[in-house]
Formats: sequence, C-alpha cells, structure tokens
Amino acid sequence: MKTLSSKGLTEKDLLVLKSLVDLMMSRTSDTWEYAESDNCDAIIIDTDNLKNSAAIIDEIEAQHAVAIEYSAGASAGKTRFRIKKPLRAADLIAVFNSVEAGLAPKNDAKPSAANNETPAQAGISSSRDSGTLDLLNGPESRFLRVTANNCECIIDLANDRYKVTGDAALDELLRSSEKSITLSATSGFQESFEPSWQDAPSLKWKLGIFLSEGELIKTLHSKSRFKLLRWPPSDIPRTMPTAMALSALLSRKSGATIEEALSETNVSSEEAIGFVNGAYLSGVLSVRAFNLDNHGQQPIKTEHTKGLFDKIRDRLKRKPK
Amino acid sequence: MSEVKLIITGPPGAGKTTAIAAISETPPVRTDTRTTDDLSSVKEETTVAMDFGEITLGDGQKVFLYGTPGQKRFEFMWKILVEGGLGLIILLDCSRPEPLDDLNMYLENFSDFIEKTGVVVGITRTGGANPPEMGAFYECLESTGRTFPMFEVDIREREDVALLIDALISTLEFSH
Ligand SMILES: Nc1nc2c(ncn2[C@@H]2O[C@H](COP(=O)(O)OP(=O)(O)O)[C@@H](O)[C@H]2O)c(=O)[nH]1
Ligand SMILES: [Mg+2]
Repeated sequence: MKTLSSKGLTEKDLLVLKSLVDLMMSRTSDTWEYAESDNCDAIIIDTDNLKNSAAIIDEIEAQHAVAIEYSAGASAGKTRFRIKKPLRAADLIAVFNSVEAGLAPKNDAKPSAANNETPAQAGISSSRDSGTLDLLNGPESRFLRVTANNCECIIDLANDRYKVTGDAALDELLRSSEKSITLSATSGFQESFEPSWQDAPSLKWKLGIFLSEGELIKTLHSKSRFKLLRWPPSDIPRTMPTAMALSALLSRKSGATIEEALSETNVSSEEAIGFVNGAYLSGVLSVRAFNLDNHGQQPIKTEHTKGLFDKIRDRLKRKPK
Repeated sequence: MSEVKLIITGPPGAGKTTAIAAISETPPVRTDTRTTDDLSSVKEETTVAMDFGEITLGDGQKVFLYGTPGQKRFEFMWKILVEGGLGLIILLDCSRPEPLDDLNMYLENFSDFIEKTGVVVGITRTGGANPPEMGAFYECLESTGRTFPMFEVDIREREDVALLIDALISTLEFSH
C-alpha cells in the first residue's frame, strides 16, 4: 500500500482528491490511501497557494518522499511529477503509476559481502539483495557493529554517535579492508568494558563515503539530478578533499547528475557515489528531474580562472613558514 | 596580471582581523580612523578598521584579502570594496544576540555581489548557550536558490580560514 497526503490544497480540492483516491483503487497497480501524515510516500503540493513551495518540495524530497506539483499555470520546473488544475482522475492515475514506477526498487545492484547474517537479525526482508547501506536506509533506529583490527565499534544510527573499544579512530575502522559489519538490535558490547558515546555529526556522511563500494543506494537512480541542501560538516572535506568540488557542483540551482560530476571534476565514480549516498543518508539530498531547458547553468570556468583556483588551492595546502 | 581580491565581512568582533592575520603573509594592516578628534573630550569615538592582508601564489601572483568595516553605517564602503572582488566570506559571531539577523543583513547588502560571484559563511563562537541550528542559517540562503557553503569554524586557526577559502573557490569554480 502507498500513502498520499497534501499541502496547500483548498478545501474543495481536498474533498475531490480524497474521493478520487477512494474511487481509483482498482486502476493503479498498488493501493493508495489518503493519510494526514508527514511520512507519506507521496505528497501533492498546491504550488499556487503556497509561497514557499520550493522549500517545501526540497524538504519532502530530502525525506525521500515524492513531491507532486499541483498548479494551474506552467510548471515551476522543480518536481518530476505534476498535475495540472483542475483535479481529474485520469491525471491522478497516470501520476500514481509513474510514482510507483519511480519508487520500485532497482534489481541490478550487487549484494555486498559484509552483510550475510544481517537481514534476519534486523528483521529486514531478505527477498532482494542489498548492500550495507540499503540496510541502514530503513525506518527503524538500529545499531551497527563494526569490528576490525581487534577493535569493536557500535554505531548508534538514530543519534549520530558511536563508541569504540581500543583506540582506533572511526574513519580508520570504516576504511579498513578487514572490517566486518553487522546490524544489531542492541547497543551492548560483548565485553564488560563500556566506553562512552562520542558524538559524530558527520556519521552518516562517513557511512556513505566509506561503505558504498561504488554502489548507489537502491532507492536512488543513477540518472537522477541531485541537489545538495546543506554542505557536509568540515571534517568531511578534511578526510575527502574532493568533497569540496562535489558539494559545489551539487549546490547549483538545478543540482547535477553523477555523470556531470564525473565530467566536470576530477572525482572518481566511487567518490561521487559515496558522497551522494552520504548526503542521502544525512537527509540533505534532494532528488529531482529537470526539463532540459531548465539546467543551462554552467560554471564560469575560463582557462584563466581555472588556473587561478588551482593555484590558490595549492597555496592553501602549503604550510606557512 | 589582474588583481585578485577576496572580501571578508561580518559584524565587529566576528574575527575578520583574526582571520586575515591567520592566513596572510603580512600582518594585517589596520586603517584606523577616528570620527572625532581624540582630544575633543566628550564626543563619541568610533574606530573604523579596514583590514588588509595578502598571500602569494606559486607564480608570484598575489591574492589580496580585504576585511570590511563591520558596522552597517559603513555600507557605502562595502559597495566600493567589493568592486572587482572574486568572492565574499561572511563571518558570524554566535555570541552576539541575533546572528541570523546579522546574516540576513549582510546577504541583503551584498546581494548583487553574491549573485555575480559567491559566498561562504563561517560561523564562529558556537559554544555559548543556544546558538541557532545550522539549518536556520541555511534557511537564510533560500532566496538565492543556491546552496552556499557554511561551516562552523575557529577563525584563529589557519586551517579553518583555508577551509573557508577553499569552499569559496570551489563554489566559484563548480557552482556558478
Ligand atoms: N574565546 C574565543 N575567542 C575567539 C573565538 N573566535 C574568535 N575569537 C576572538 O575574537 C576576537 C575577534 O576580533 P577581531 O578579529 O578583531 O574581529 P573583527 O572586528 O571582525 O576584525 C579575537 O580576539 C579572537 O581571538 C573563539 O572561538 N573563542
Ligand atoms: Mg577588525
């Protein structure tokens, strides 16, 4: 079942919408239900009635729901899905079916070796193969247990904090090629010694960057345009210098595709994918599709400025005498 | 070679002088001007300090750093200072009463310049009671349509100043 809610609709439109949703049941592939909740699969936004609709759409998309624009005039070009006023059953059915297609999981992702025992333990359906990050992308708060080099680390996903035995740093453990990762329902260590929690505001960014193994999280599509809603905390560009270029590129008004990121920067595809996954897990990525005429935003990169930027970067790296 | 300059603005005490001192090869030059004669006793005294520093790139080209006087009444000078500038750094001091109002004020006053170039926001002194959430600072940027970089920084650290400049030039290079 899929759920739908709305923002900014007139009372009359809302009545029409609710009755259409009830009537349409048999004509969409999945069952749709109207719900007054913030955690819906899709949300219809009357962009004529809401002043800050662009921000609302960003927020909805950052929460991984689908925004459907509802307006009388031409599209603001922000959302992938749009219904023109007045509300008609045929339009609604068409949009619902394409939303369903968009929400359908991709089947081409490869399983990751690290999570053999996890699905059952975490109560996640094992009907499709998932990478470590796909497992994290569920609604329940969970703990992640990482062991490597005789260190054990518990990551508290809901609270962006971790605790670790031994003195390995979090980055070091996540980077380690020897690590094993399992989901866990409890936060306890197997040993009696309990270290204290350490806050890590950039935790989810790091999970994306270090654990992606070149695979986009399944709910994301490699051809989508991604827009960054916030830059990562400063420790991310410090551990991953290419995060600066990626952040800037994905901050354009129209966002950018992974393909654009690869062609316009020196970033590797693993880094770009890890970064996009990290932004998504951190809730600061908005996913959108644009009309072609809507993304003519090129950087002002002449040979002159390009050389200048590189020279400034070089100089910043050099320690003062 | 054309002159390259970066502009640093922000309220008094936000750390403009400190930032320039941390990264510049020359000590920041302060241009102090008294609005009234030092010796004329009762009248209010105001110091207008404009900071200036520089760094030299590998091939000898210089990048100049200009700190604007912070107070809003020097608005007229801001317009002149940014002329030909590469980009803007706004520093905010969270120990001041309304850092979000401060940000909005600078965004508004430098809006033409920001539109043409780009901006990075350095947020300082977040350790006090109730600094605004990062998200609230980002909301101030919404009208620009672009997501400009914002970082919590300790402006006394050279690495943090370098981080701000790096984010600014990345924005200019990849995000315009
Ligand atoms: N204790 C503390 N002092 C700071 C911090 N950041 C900046 N400062 C101090 O705040 C002052 C900033 O003054 P200044 O650079 O002259 O600000 P300007 O008016 O913007 O030029 C300096 O004395 C800095 O050392 C901080 O995080 N903690
Ligand atoms: Mg000063």
